[in-house]
Amino acid sequence: MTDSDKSFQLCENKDLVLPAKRIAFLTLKEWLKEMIDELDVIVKNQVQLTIICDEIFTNIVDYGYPQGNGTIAVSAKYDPSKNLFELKFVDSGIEYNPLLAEPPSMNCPIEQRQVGGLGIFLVKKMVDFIEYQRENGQNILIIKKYLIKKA
Amino acid sequence: MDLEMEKTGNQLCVSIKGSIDTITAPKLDQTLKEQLNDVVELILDFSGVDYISSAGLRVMLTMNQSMTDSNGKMMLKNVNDEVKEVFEMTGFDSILSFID
Repeated sequence: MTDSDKSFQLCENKDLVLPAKRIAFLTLKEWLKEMIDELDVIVKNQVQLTIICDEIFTNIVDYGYPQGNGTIAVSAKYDPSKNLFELKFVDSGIEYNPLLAEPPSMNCPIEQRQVGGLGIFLVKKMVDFIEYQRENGQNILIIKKYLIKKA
Repeated sequence: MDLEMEKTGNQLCVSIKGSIDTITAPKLDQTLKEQLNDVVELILDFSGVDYISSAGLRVMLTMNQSMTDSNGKMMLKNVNDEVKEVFEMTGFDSILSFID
């Protein structure tokens, strides 16, 4: 097995199931950090992937499970030939497509803006691909991002 | 996230260490609100901040508004490139004040 295959396998095998509670983001953050450290990518990529996870996870907790009961499954894939990292979030909460959320109005004064739409706005800015599906009563959100290795 | 505070007259300097995210932003919000009574100048030292998410942006917005409403001002210093990029992406760089 080559090092590249190992990286792919490493991420492929690291699935995570978390309770739909904000505090569980700490576990998600550690899980992500462990993987990203292995991939040896630039700090900007590490920071952006952490923010992406924060925004998506918090969104599912708030909108998918307002009662606070449920789980969120997160899985990761990495394609070393393209330096392409993929994260998949699956939950069985209320049907919610974050891609349909109203973007924050960038024309009105910032003091009057609704901060609510900012999370998904940030995610869209930071990823190279994002897709939402509703299948078998589950919300599935997939993001992909090209990473840059440290020099 | 750890906070270190130093008050000199009406100036409050808060050094933030760690992440301002969905977990820590409420603590930052609450701590700052408790300290702002007679503060005219609020300086947030970001030298120890590794990232900020939208929950943290919300705190920056409300604190900045709160200081403006009381004729005070809020300034951010030592903001790293990654955090600055988040402010730029969201347009927050146009309203927040930055010092070196």
